Parts: sequence; structure tokens; C-alpha cells
Amino acid sequence: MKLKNIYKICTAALALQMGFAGSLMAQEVEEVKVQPNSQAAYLSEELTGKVVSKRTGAPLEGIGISYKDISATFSNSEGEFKLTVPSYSTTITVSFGDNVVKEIPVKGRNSLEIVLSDFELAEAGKVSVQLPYDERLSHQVTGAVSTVDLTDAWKGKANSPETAFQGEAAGVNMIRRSGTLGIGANTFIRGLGSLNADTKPLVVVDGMIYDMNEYEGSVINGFTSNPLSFIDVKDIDKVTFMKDGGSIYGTKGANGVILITTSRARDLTTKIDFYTYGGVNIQPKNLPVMQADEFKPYFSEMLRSSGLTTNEVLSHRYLNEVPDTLGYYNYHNNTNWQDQVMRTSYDQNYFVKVSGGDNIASYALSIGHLKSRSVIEGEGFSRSNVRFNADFQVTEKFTAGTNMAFSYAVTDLYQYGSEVNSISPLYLGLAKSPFLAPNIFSEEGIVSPNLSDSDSLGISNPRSIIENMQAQNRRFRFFGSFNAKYQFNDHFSLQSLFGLTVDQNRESFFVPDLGVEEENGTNTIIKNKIGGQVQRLFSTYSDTRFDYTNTFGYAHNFDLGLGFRFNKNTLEEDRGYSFNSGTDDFITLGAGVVSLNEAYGNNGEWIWMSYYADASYNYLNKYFVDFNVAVDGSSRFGSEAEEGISLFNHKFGVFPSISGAWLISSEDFMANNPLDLLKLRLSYSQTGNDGIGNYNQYQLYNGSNVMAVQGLVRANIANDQIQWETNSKVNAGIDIATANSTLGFSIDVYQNNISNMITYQPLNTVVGLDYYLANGGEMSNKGVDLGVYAKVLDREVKLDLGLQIGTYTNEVKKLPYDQRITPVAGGEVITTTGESAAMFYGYETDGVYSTSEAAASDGLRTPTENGTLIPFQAGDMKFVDQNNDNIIDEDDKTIIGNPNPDFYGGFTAHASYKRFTFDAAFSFSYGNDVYNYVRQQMEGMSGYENQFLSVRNRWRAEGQDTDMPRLAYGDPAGNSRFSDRWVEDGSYLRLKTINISYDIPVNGSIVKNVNVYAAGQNLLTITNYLGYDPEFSYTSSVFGQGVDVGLTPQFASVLLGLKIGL
Amino acid sequence: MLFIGLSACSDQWEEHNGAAQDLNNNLVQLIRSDADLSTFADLLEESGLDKQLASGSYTVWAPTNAALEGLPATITGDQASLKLFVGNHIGYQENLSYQAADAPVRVKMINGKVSVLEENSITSVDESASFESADRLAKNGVLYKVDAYMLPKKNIWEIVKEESDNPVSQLILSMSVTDELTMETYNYFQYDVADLSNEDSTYTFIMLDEAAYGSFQTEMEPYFKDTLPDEMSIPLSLGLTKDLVFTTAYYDNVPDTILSVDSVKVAFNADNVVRQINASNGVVYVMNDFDYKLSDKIPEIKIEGEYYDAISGSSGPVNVRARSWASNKRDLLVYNHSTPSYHVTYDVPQAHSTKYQIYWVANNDDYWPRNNWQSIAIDSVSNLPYGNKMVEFNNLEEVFIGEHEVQNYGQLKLILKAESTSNNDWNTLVLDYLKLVPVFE
Repeated sequence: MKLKNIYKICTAALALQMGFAGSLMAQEVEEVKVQPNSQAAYLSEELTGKVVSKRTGAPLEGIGISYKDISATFSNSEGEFKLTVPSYSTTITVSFGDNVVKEIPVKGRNSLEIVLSDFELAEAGKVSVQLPYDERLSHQVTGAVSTVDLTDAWKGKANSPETAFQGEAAGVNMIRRSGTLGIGANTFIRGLGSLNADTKPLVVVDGMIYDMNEYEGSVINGFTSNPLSFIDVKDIDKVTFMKDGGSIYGTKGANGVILITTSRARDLTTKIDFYTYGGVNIQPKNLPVMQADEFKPYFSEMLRSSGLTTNEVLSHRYLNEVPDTLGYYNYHNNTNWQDQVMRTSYDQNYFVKVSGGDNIASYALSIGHLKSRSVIEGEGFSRSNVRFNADFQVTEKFTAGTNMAFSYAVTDLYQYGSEVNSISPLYLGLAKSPFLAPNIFSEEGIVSPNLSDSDSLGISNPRSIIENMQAQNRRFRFFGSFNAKYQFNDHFSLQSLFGLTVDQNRESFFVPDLGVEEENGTNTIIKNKIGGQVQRLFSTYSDTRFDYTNTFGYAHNFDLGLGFRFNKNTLEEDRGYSFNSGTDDFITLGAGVVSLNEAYGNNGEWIWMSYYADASYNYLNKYFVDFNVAVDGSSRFGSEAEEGISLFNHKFGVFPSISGAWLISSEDFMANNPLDLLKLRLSYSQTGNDGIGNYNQYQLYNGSNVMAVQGLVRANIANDQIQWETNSKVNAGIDIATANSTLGFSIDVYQNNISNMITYQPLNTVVGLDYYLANGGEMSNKGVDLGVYAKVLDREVKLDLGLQIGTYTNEVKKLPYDQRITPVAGGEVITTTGESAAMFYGYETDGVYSTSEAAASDGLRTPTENGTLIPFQAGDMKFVDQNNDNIIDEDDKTIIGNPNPDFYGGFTAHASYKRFTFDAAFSFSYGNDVYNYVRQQMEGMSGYENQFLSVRNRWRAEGQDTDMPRLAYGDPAGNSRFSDRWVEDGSYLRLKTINISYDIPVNGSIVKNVNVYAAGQNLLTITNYLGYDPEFSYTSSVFGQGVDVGLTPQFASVLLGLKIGL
Repeated sequence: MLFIGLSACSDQWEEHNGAAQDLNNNLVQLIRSDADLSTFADLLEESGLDKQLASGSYTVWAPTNAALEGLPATITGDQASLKLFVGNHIGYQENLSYQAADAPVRVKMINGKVSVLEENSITSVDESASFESADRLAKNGVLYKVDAYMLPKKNIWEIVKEESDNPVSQLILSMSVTDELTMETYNYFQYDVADLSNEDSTYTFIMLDEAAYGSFQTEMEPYFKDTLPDEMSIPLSLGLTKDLVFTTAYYDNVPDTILSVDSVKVAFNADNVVRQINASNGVVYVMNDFDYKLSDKIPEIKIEGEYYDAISGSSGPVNVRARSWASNKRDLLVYNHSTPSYHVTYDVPQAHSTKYQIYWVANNDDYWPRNNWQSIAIDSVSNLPYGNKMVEFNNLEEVFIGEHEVQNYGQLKLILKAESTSNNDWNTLVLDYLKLVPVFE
């Protein structure tokens, strides 16, 4: 930034940034004004050198060479330069245009040959890393941070930026929640951050905390409203993941920090970029379910298993084989129900970005509109967004800026998940009997436009859900800030930021009566159902900061910042449900039967304040030390919290961190070493997690409706000692890059210890409450992150590859109870000390009894629902009797799977040839176990639902050798109970994004550039997972990861796009 | 690029769904694939049953080519009988041999007949076939290979129709009435006695020859007197036929006494059997003698007091009481009615035309008013052949009232009459039950 004041170059760098390596054009150099600088006194040595291209060996002209902002020069037409420096032990900066290419340690030499590769020139400007209050060159960073290269991200889908981030940073495990549009991802940085508190990393957008809370969640099952979906990836300039050292954010930094910087005017010329794409979303491959000819015999066997005699089975109306009788044509179809709920759909996006300005004010304005659809018929996401970022140079010392963004999004949805199978179009698409049809037929076999009602087997009509069910989320967010900075002199400055978040999140849904199976409510039969919710958030944020920076001698560089932050939030949530409106035409909350109405709400506020200091020091750009401390208070902490310090009668947590780096490659003794970079890093930091709920220190009461009488009941036991969770992080890292950064890698080893973890302490029955919340657990995450990049080809064809891979081991160290078992979608996860949190906990199986003798000789029995013990028969699952008591019951459960991956990450390839560029990004997860709830439903063989084709292998005959048990109505032997049958390897490798683009040659007078591209998303997924898709995460809680409850799958999309620059 | 994306994911499913080849074939395909069953496969196609067999759940006992060699041309030549024949080898739903290990399983065949599956054989009435191979699973059922074919049998009803020379057959086939409202004609033997065409039940049916039937009819007629001299009455025709039907199929080793569908004991003497005809749902014996227990045939009649047919006054004073000592745990008490000669009527439509002794159980269990006298009138309230009788305290004995000869079948009304006084101290009625005991002379 400071270099900008010194010189300004009109450059063709744009072309280079696009990834082309055109020959370097002559640079027109404006008149350079060199400000007299008192520090110029240090300049005593003269450094000479030459800049050449690595590929051609030709001299490069117009490359900026500078020492800090004290002395600067350019290479001449011979590539030669002369620069005065204070010492031959310092470091000089090489720039191309406004952008830094690299820093070069002089290492005692008085003459240098600087060899620059095309890659280095093309990536000029990308070597700097955005840090919370600072931007630094990457080799000066002391902590474990990762940045994401978003150069090509604009070619992807605009729904939610997480897709662009996923797999691009080692140690950041982003699991996309589902294929629902804009739903985003659950992000776990370096393992599992907490059991019961927040696990989400802090998101900071343009220096202000971006509210990512879900609060009471959505009334629409299977949906999570995602604030990041308000940001178009084309608005994002930089993303930094801070994996350790989040202590600058005190009690908000425990789960890591995601810093997002939105784009601002890069230069003062007016630029207009217009982006558009049209996309096709491809219907996922149907799961293999039985067709009518196979389901019918299955169905009749199931009827017999339910206790009907052969004659009763034959007289079942669905098995009536006489044409022209009532219902015959309704029951003799072969409907592909998956095709009735899923289809190929289309997307459109328009986006305009205007930037420019003058030396007083510069601005970047963007406006976008997205209309996106999912592969589920009727699901859509439409968003309008506008962003205005401006910078003002009010006086020479006073600068100001604004960041303002407004987005409005409407998401049309359905409901998904294990609790709403009766209305989930995906589940119904699998389970609905194929011999039934969506519409009613007459006795003559003529199809009518009227939809069939739910069938006599108790399964809703999926088409009725598609056509008549409504579920919608309408949300807007204004997120804006104003900042001002006064620069007293070269050393001192004061800046302040004040921002507002105004967010309103409205939801409504309606479940019709027609075609939907009735539900048993507490006081009534529920025919239709209406729900609604409004969440209103008003949040203010301020951050005021004093900065001091100085260089002592030419060797000691020192920065100090002191600041104060304040965040106040007001939230109102209102939620209502009503039931049984007169007809399916009355779909508003007021239309239901009054006595059945349910209403909930909360209204409150919370405050966070933080004093912080950050200091950084380096010596000769070789030895770096950073020190941060934050002192945080929050309305969430109890007044009697054990830890922390007392200020103003409140408890404040103190979170220090220290990190250091040694840039060995800049040492003089490395002068003849070809390594571009060799750096060791070490950090220790303490951070806190304040995501513990807003009001746990207070006694709360809940409204309750008992027999239509309203009352208040105690909701918790107040804990005035409740406090933040503490997350102490140790990180050691090494960064290595060969000459010209042709090959580089970076390895980090870390251990995060979480203490004071919020736990649900069990209470005695007499208390009347099951738990109270207290800080009582400990957990650790250990792991290794590895990032590798290689510039494989640097000729006319350029190719570079990147790999990001992470691994972690989670271990629960201490709990106030032996174990906690959490039910998840018909299964269970166990949390116990010495193991990772939330391991799958169920029965182990060992095949199927093929003969009655085998079953009898094992002699195992299992309790039925009424407690009687029944023996296993031929065709039942053989469960492992862990405690050898010959009874298969609760005591035989064991750990049967680990939802945490062994490795996860991604790799990228980027290639260019002339005007073509090509990008591919893969993401992968290896060794994570998943619980396939959908398959449990679809292979359970206990009712009249359609099943996967695999049940044709079910045990039927004595002596039959198979791994699929017999069908049995109601599953008396519990063959489908939660066991390792349903726990699968969820490993996958996915071609997350791929695109190819072409820059159309234009004359440049009006239109500066035109780029056309084709892009694909999720086009290839390699997995052994037996479901639509192996990537899903229905909750941000650690309890429930790796559970496929049947959400919308990730689907493949193909886009054709166009970008025009004016 | 697109192609790769679309063709990518199916391997894991192929492996997961991979099944033995048989399980991918339906029964028709499976039968076709076995060269040794080619004759049966052809017959299946000719009969048109292959379409039905392609969907739904079935078990096929397919005779091998060798077994089908001697198949009579009468079967293959006729479409209807071929369908019946092939259908006799196809059962509904899956029936596996292990399911018959403990007890034989009755299997409904798609021609409507029922066969019996045992662990190692399948039996259609009197023909059995052994398994050359068993329990071969197909996509929609099970295939057995058997060493013999089994011809479908006629059911008893069809046999009755065929044996039209037989007097019993003639009687049964004549037992039809036409509903006056619907104008639907139906055979009331099938409704009231047994539907002998029902393939799911099993019966033994006795047909009598001319002489035996004649003497049986002569014996029965006095008990079924009616006012229609020329026609046979419905009660008589039912009385003549109902005890010829037995709900168990006694193909052989018939016990010497068997119980008819109406629980009348019938003597069975193998020497009297003229002819035995095996049917698909049982067996028909043509016999030259019929012996039965007359007291079963003309039984006692018990009429519960609480099941009255009419009352002479208001229902207010009529009480059906729960009494542990009473027959059917109920009795009838009518009191405080202030009506002289209050009476309660019981119709006895099942009374035979014979002499009955009449008994009652009427117990004064200390109700109040404490005394009552009551009487039984026959057919008319003024016909009081037996006079008043005091109802005694705590008497649970049957009290003999008198004898009465019923003139025509079903024409009997018993009337329980109170004293001809409005004095509630005396006009109470009470009755647990009435009993009519036939007098055989």
C-alpha cells in the first residue's frame, strides 16, 4: 500500500493476473516523487543487480526494487538496477506494478541477479496475507494461517461462497450441509472445538464480526439459514483462515477465525465488470429401489409376515388382479417416484461490479441477482445483493471508508430428515410403493388431474408434497460499517470502526392435508400443519484502536496496537405452529384450530466487550515475534466465574498468545542455498469460546401449555459460575519453498487443549430437571496439516498443482459423568473419556444365520418391546454377544464407527495455454464413517415401504447364504437396529469445481476484455457410499456429524458464463 | 467431462445389489432356463399363466419332462383344463420346504385348489410328488422340481352336480329360493349348511342311495310337519341334508362315529359304503344306510328368559338382571307393572312337530314384592293348560310345567303370564329359562 504513494504505473498486469504470460510490455513510468525521509540517513550501501526472466533469460524492464518505503528504483531496459540499502543484511522488495512479487534477503551480497518466473509475476500481489489488523507478506507470518486463492472462484456458482473455500486450506474441514441451495457448510477448524458450545469458527468480514448464529434454528426441518449465502463469491477479495492464535479475538476465537475481505477499488480508473452465467443442475442418479414387478411379491410376503393368511393377502385391494374393477388402475402402475420429485433444473446469475474514483474518493459498487434452483422440483433460491465499499482521503492525515452490503434472499424448500419422513419428498420418493400412481385413475383407466391421497399403507403421496406443500425462508441482512483513521504522523494513528447488522429472518411452512399421512398430535389427529417464525437481530459493533509503528535503526521493526471492541445484540424470535385449518386453502398461522395453537418466543440482548493489544517485532526481517492479548467480558459469563479477572464487578477472561518465526532462508549463511524460503514457526495461544448460550447464569422460565392452561415452568438451574471454554493451542510449523517457489510445502503440527468445557451435568430425578450446564469437561485435538504446491510447467503451457491435507485426533479427556449417549436418527453416538467425541455406538454384526440349526446352536435371544426374550431364527442377523450372557440387549452395544476423517482436504490444478485457462479443484475426505440412516430405512424390511433393490438378496430359504436378513413385519428380532450394517465408509473424492475459459481477443477501446467459460460443479464423485451423496452435515453440533438423515444431496451442475469488462 | 460425471457412480451399487443369477430372474425365466422343465414351460405358455407368473409371489412345483410324459391328451387338448392342470402346480406366495418341517402347510394354488406341502413332498388330495430339487429362489418366488404331476380334482359341489341321479343330489340342487326383493336365486343349502364349493375348507359328504334316503326321509317327516302337503318345506330339506356334511375330510380310516356340521352324532360303517369319490376339498361317500342319534337330531330347546320376543305392556318394569346363578348369567324380572295379566312372549321357531315336556327355572331370590304366581300359556295368552304356579324362594331347580305336542314344525309360542291382578304384590314375573325336552315314544 505504501509503495502506491511512491509510484504509479499504468500496467498490463491485468492480463498477467488472468494467468497469461504475455511478453512483458514496456512500462510507462510516471514522474516519481520521492519524499525526503529522515531515515534516508541510514542508506549507506549500494546494491546493484539485474532482473531476468527465468523462462527466457531475457532482462525484465520496469520491475520495481525497493527497500521499505525509503529507497526505490526500477530495472532499466537491460534489466539492471541500483538501490541504496542500509546494509547488505537487509531484505529488498521486488514489485510488479502495484503488487509485491517477493522479498529477497540480500544475505551479505552486494550484487544480485534476480530471476523471476512467469508464475511469480502472474501471482504478484497474492503473496500478502490479510491478518486481523494488518496485511503481511506471507513469509513474515508467525502463526498458522491459510489463504484461499479465489482467482477463479468467480466462475463458480454464486449461491454460497463455501464451495470455493472447501478443501483449499489445510486443517479446515468444511462439510457442506446438504445440496439445499445456499445452505453452506459446517466448518471445523482443526478438529472438534467443543461438545456443547459453539463449534463454528468466527467469521469477520471487513473487520467486523459477521453474525453466524443459528439461534433457535429453523422451523423448516433439514434447513439451516446461512448468512454467508448473502455474500456472492465475486465480492470476496481475500479469505484467510486463522487456525491458531485466534486470541486477538479473545472469547470468540477458540474455533479459529475466517477473515473475509470484500473487494474495493484497485485503481482509480473506472472499471465496469459484468458477469453472467446460466446453469443446468443435473438430476442425481436414482438410487436403485425395487420396481413394481419386484415390489409386489415383496409386498405380498410382507402382508403375510404381518399375520394375514394367503386368502387375506390375495384379497388385499392392492393385489386385485381383475382389470376394470374399482381401483385396479390405481394399483397397477410402475411409477418411478424419484423422477416425480427430482428433475434437472436451471440457474441464472447476473452481477455487475463498478469500481473507480479519484484521489479523494474511490468506490466499488456491485449489484447481483441470482435465481437458482435445486434438483428437487419446486426448490429455489433467489437473492438480490448490493454492496458498496468506498474509501475517502479526507485530508492528508484523515482517511475514512465504508463497507455496506444489503442482501435479500428467498429460499423455497421442503422439509427433510428422520423426523419428517412423512413429508420429505426425497424419502417418499424412495419409499412410496411403485405400483401406486401420483394421480387418481377412473375405473376405465383414465388418469385424472386429481392427486391421490396418502395410501392405505400410511405413506404420503410425494407429488402432493411437491405441488401443495410450502416452506419458505425470506431473509434480509444489512451489514455495514463506517471507519475513520487519523494518522498523526509516521508512527501514530488512531482508527475507529462502527458497524450495524440488521437481520430479519422469516420462515413459514404449510403441510397440506391432501396426499399427506395424518400425524398423531398430543391432543388431536393432525391433518394439516402451519408453522412460522420471525427472527430479528439488531447488532452494533465498534472497534477503536491506537497504533504505533516504528523502525529502530534499520533493523528493529516494531508495531503496537491497543484497542477496544464492543458488540451489542438484540434478538427477538417468535415462532408459532397451528394445525387443522379448515381446508388446504387456508395456509396462514391464524387459520388453524385455536385450541391447538402453539407459540414460543424469546426476546433479549447480550453484550460482548474486549480490550486487546497486539505487538509485533522483527529483527532484520529474519526473527519475528508477535504478542497478542485480549481481555474479554460478556453478559454470558456468570458473576462468580472461577477464572479470569474482575473488572467493574464483572468477570473478564484474559487470553494471551505469543508466536515467533525464524526465517532461516534470509540468514547470510544461506546465501548459496537454493531455497527461496525456509521458515520455522512456533506459537502458543489461549482462546475462549463464548458460544455457551446467552442466559445460562440466570434462572429461566418457560411457558407451558397443559390442557389448554398456560403456565410457567422452571427451565434450568441458574449457574452463576458459568464461563467461557478455554482452548489452549500449541502450533509448530515449517515452511519451505525452492527457488522461485517452484515447489513448496508447509507443515504444521498442533495440539489444542480445551478445558472448562460446557457439559450437561446429570441431576437427581427429584430435581425435576435432567441436567444443568456447567464447565466441567476437557478435550484435545492433535493433528498435522500439510500444504504442498508445485509449479509443474512454466512454458507456453503452464500448470501448477496444490494439495491441502489435514488430519486430527480428537480425544475427550474429562467428563463429569462416565459416558453420554446421544440419539441421532434412530442410532446413537457415545461420548466417553479416552475416545473421540460422538462415536457411533451400536451393535456389531456377524452375518445372517443361514439355517435354523445355526441360530439354535448359538442360542442367542433378544428382548422384544414388551420385554419377553425371543430366540433368533434362521434369517435373523447374528449380533455379537459382547458380554457373553446369550442375550442381545443394551449391554452388547459397542463403538462401531468414528465419524471423524483420517484425512481430509483438497487438491487443485490450474493450467493455462495462450488465451485458455483451465482449473480443477478436488475435495476429499478419507476414513470417516457415516451412519446411513436412509439405507437403514430402505433395507430395514419391517413395513410396507419400498426398499432398495438389494433386499432381493434377503434370506428366504433354509441354508441360503446371504448378508441380508429375512423380511419380518415390525422387525421383532431387531434385525434393522442400529448396528455396523448401517455404518459405512464415507470416504470420497470429488471433483468439486472444474472450469475452462477463453479470453476473446478484443480491440480494447470500449470493451477491455471478454471472457467466456464453461464450469462444472460436483461433476464427479468417487465413493463407495451407498446413498445419493457422501457429503452431508445436518447439524453444526459434534453430535450428529456423519449421519445421513436424508437431506437433499449435492448435485452436479454445468454452467456457461460470460464476463465482460468495460 | 460431462460424460465422466454422468457415468461415474454405479459400481458400489452393483456390488451391493449383486445377487445370485436366479434372483434376477422371475419364475418364468427360471423355469425356461432349466432344460429339464421345458415341457412344463411350454404348458405354462400354452395355458397363458406365464403372464400371471411373471409378477406377484408364487411357488411352482414343476414336474420334470420325464414326469410329464404320460400326460393324457384330454388335458393338453383343452385350454380350460390345461389352465386348471398347470394351476395345480403353482401356489400363491413363497412356500419353502423348511416351513413344513414341523407341520404340513396348506398351500393355496392358483387354480383355487389347496395342496399340502410337506418337507419332502407336495400332495394334491391323493396324488403326491417328491422333490427332485427344492427351494430354488427366484426374483418373485420359489421353484421346486417334482417327479410327478398332480391332476386337479373336482370339488364336492361339482360332484354333487354331476351325481344328478342321486336323491340327495336332487334334493340339494332343488333347495333354491328366490329373494323377492333382489330376484336373486340362490341355493340355501350352500348358505345355511355348507358351501361345498369352497376350496379352502375340507368336508366329508355322505350321499345316500335311493333306499337309504327313502327310509331317512320317512323317519324325519313326522318331525317336520307342515301345512304344505305337496312341497317339501325348507326346514325338512335342511333337516334331511345338514347332517350329511362333516367338516373334516375323512379320506380313509373314518371313525365309527362322526360329528356333523350341526353337531349330530352320525354312525359310520365302512360296510355301508357303496362308493368313495375323492374331491379337491374333501371326500364323498355314497352309502346305503344312514344311522344317527335321534336325540341329537331332535334336540332339547332351551329358551333364555332374557331373550323374549314380545312384551304386553310398557318396557319400564322389564328388567334383565345380572345373576351369577342364572343360565347365561342373566334372568328376567318384570315387577311393579300394575298390569293384570302382563305377559312376555317367546317364539320357538325351531320346535319340531313332536311332543315336548316344558320346564322352567324361575327363582325368587328375595326380591320385593316377595311373592308371585305365574303361568305358561301356549300360543295364545288365554290358552293356559297348566295353571298358575308359585315361584319359590331360592329354587334353582327346573320345575316341570307340563307337556305339549307341537302340531307343525316351528309353530310354537310360549307365553309367560302374570296373575290377572294389578296388585303389584302378586303380579311379578320372573324367568331364568324355559326348557323343552322332546318325548320320543
